[in-house]
Amino acid sequence: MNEFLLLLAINAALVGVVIAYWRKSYLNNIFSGVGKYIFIFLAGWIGFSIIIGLFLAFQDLKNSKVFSYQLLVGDVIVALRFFAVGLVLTFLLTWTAVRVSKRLKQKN
Amino acid sequence: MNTMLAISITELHNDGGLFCMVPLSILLTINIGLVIYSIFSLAQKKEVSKFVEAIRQIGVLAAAFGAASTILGLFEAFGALSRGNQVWPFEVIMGGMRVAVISVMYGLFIFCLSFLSYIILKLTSKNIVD
Repeated sequence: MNEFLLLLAINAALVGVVIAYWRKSYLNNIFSGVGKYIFIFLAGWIGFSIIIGLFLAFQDLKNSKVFSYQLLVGDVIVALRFFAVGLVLTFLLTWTAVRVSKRLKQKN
Repeated sequence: MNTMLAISITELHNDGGLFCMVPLSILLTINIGLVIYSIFSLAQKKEVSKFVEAIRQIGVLAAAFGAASTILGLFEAFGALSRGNQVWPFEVIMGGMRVAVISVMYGLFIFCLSFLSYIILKLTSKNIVD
């Protein structure tokens, strides 16, 4: 349960950082033409994390034969870990896109 | 997580059903080939925009195919459940659900991989070509 709360806090912080950075970069129009695709990638990754969680939940429910709250929390934790990886990747991609755009502007 | 690691990829591939998983594996193979070709082309400073766009389109196709396969699988599973007169055990239904989500999971994995490659290759090509 501690890990669950910790992961929730980490994910909330990451969402805040990604949105703040993404919004600032988007408003300044320095996204190197891939901003839309970074957003689609994040959406796909969120879907992937949810499906991973569902898959593990179904597998645990199949094997355990009994509905268990703790098993499901364990699966949510795995999904949250995947989600955090996706957020970090999104931030890195956004940061790289902004860097490339700035470099191209300086060249021109 | 340990359970997840214990399952081999081949086992998952077989569980998902060959009709759904083989086309997805073919798409993944094509995409890996395109990514490798694009990297080599970029190293020689050639134009790669056609191949990079193809990577993105194949990724979208994989996600759509995976989602369609899952919907078809669920449709068949619910049809079979409604036709039977007996009450199915809980673990049988959960096992069916687990199998149904495998193809969409694989499709989304290919989608994410393709978009990641697409964004990185596009940024790299901008940096090199421009």
